[in-house]
Amino acid sequence: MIERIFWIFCALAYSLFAINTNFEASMINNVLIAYTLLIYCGWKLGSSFDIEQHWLNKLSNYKGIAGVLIASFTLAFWMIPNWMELAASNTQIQLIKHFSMFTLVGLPLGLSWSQSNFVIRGFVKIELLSMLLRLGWIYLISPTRLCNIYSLSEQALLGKALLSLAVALTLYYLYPLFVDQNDRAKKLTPGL
Amino acid sequence: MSPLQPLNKSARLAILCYVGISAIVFLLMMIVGLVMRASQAQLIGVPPQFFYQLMTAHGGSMIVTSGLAASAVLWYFLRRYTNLYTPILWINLGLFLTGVVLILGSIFIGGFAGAWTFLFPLPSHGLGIWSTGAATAFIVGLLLIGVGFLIFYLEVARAILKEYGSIPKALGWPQLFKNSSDTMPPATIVAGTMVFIVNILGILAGAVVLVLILINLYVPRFEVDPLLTKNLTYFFGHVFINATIYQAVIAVYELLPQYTGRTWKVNKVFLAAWTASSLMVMAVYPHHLMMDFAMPSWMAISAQIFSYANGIPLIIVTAWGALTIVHRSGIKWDAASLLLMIAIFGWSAGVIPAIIDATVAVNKVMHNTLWVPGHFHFYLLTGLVAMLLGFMIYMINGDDQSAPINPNKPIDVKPMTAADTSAIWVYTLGSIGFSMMFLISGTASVPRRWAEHFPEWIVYSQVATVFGSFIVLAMLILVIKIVIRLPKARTL
Amino acid sequence: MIHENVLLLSLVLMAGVLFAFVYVFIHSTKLEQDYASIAKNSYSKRDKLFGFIIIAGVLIAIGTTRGLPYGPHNANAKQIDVIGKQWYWEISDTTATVNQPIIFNVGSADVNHGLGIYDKDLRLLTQVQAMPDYTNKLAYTFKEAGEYKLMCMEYCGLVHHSMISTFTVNDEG
Repeated sequence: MIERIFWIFCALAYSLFAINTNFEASMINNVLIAYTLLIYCGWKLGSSFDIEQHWLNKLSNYKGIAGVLIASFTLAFWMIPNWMELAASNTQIQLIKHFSMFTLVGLPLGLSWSQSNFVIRGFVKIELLSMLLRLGWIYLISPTRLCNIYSLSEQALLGKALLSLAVALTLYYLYPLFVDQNDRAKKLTPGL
Repeated sequence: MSPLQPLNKSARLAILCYVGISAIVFLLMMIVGLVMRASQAQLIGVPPQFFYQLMTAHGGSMIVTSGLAASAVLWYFLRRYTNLYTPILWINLGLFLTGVVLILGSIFIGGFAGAWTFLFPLPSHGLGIWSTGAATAFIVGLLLIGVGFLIFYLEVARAILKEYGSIPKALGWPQLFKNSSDTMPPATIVAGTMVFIVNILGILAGAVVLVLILINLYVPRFEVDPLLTKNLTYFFGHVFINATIYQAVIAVYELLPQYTGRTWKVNKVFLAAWTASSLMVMAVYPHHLMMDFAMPSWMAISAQIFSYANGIPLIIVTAWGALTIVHRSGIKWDAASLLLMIAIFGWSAGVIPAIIDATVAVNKVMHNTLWVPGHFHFYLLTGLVAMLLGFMIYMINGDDQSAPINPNKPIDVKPMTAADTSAIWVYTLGSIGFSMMFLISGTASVPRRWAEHFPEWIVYSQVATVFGSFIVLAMLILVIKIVIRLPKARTL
Repeated sequence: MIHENVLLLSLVLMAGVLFAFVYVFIHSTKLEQDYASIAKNSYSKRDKLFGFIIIAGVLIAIGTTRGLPYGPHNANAKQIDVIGKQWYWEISDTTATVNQPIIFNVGSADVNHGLGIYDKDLRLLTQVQAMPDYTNKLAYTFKEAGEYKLMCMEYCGLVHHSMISTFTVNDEG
């Protein structure tokens, strides 16, 4: 229980901090730190529940597919520069963004991940990689500022950061496939 | 080898759907191809706009349907070694059909004619002939099909990794590099592993580039780099179509031993060839970009060297292996085994003009002439489609003749009817002649993808139309037979 | 000419493959029980062929990468700008003289095109892709006077097949 309150508190604390400072004025802070932090808190909260056997979960969240889909669509929505820009200029929208990152991305992922299998996880990973590559590419090449409040050079830097992250994640995802699962008691790639 | 488990009902039905749908789409799209050649031959009149719509439909449908039929071959044989989860077959089929409906709608309702290669920025430059909506439907259709195949290959990856532990073990690296004395992985596992690796990466590239093109359609100020887009498009396209052959050839590895009662031994050369090809099939795609002088020239050079090196190992391993296993085997040919053997010839022979064209000096005068459709029609028509037809006929011939999965005992062959024999040979001669006319036209510098030809070139198209009619006629006989007999198909 | 040689080489090699298949096919229905010796004999031949083809292939591949069309180019050549547009060529100069080195600076204002230079016998002499945002430099020296055709080599939409311009090469002096 304390753990759950802690993660909610973390998300709230960050949200209060962010709306009272200029922290999210930097695109990198916004995408790489804010999003990751809020999703992580939501994830930890979600994974503290054991809902697999609950009838509602069995009915609506078979193998965590629904949760994973909700999270992907919400995350894709908040990667669209127009919405990021709106959130940056309007505190209410910014709060909605924080709230949805926590409850619609992190939380469903946390609730669903342990139920999902290799194929669903693989799908999410590929989708994450392709999203990082697309966004990194767009930020890198865009001759105009996608968000008016962020500078072009910062935008290009974010592009490079996202592309590098995609490369690093690809290697991270591939590594376990090259190591014998049987020797390692199938720890590396669960859900096979 | 352990005795065969019957296919579960749902998986059998799904595979028969894959077989039936692909057979019918192949036939329809061959008729579309024939119409295009007849129009170039000025035997019938097709307005250019409709010609380019047909061309887009022909290319797009053939690529994805080859993927569908080839995935059925992979699944059917892979399930002899692993536990595959049947619903994935249906999810893939559902997404495939939805995607195909969107693609055909975009072409025949929306007028989209951007060619199946959708080279950026053509989709957004319809100039009033097609709308942004039509281009969107085409791209979304391809994306859905890609999602279906992604899920399919993830399941293949899961099943293989569960059984064999890791990619290196499934590719036989311990046996290849460490002289391990463990049993060699079966050919099907090696091929399946190669295919899931390259196809998942290919689909990733496709998913990135398709969404970028989609975004550009609606927000043109996101100016995507056309050369980078071209690279990703060809990487995805090249890998995907090549992987169809690497899946279909599993039928050859599995069935020729059954027909001859001999074993097809997986050895180190086999393993080395497949591992090398896994890497090289991803490195050769710049041979589509040799005439893009803005590309770094080392990419063209490496593409040339890799293309030479990539074509050879698999062909030699497979063609030589097939010839060896058949030589003086006392085989009783039936329609399935005959088509598989013809297919190996078509693949090996068709790769020759392909490799030659991957030479920069040759590419300079052959690129985007009809030489290009010439080489790929050779190894897709006489190679891939013949292989797939061989598998389909094996499926519809029923259980009675193949009960023994004892590789040392030849299967009981169902004799060919006169209709089978003539259809197969007419198909073979028709497809060789048809592809040769493309190659000859390419030698005469006829450009590809031209709705209307100069008078000097018409004779080539006319001869090709005759060969094309042979193919359609033979295909009609084979497809009718396949579809009618589907309900009686194998249950094992 | 290279065109015919390419066809000829392909036909010879394809005929070789065909011969092997026909030979085996004819002998396939006879039964030789001793598969082990057939396999041993065949695979030892294959391993030799394998090594030979790999080495020959790589040598030929490397050997034929001399004289690539990618430059560096003659700085004194005549510069001609060619821009592909749906569906015509915009050419800064449509004349040249025999033996005059020319560099075509090829680009596109809209979609991908391909610039193919055809002689009066409709034979493709050389080509390069034309794409937006990039300039591809194609070096060529005409050896004969006469009318040439510039045709589109990359599918660019409805009127792709009519995207043709003429180019005149005059005798020296």
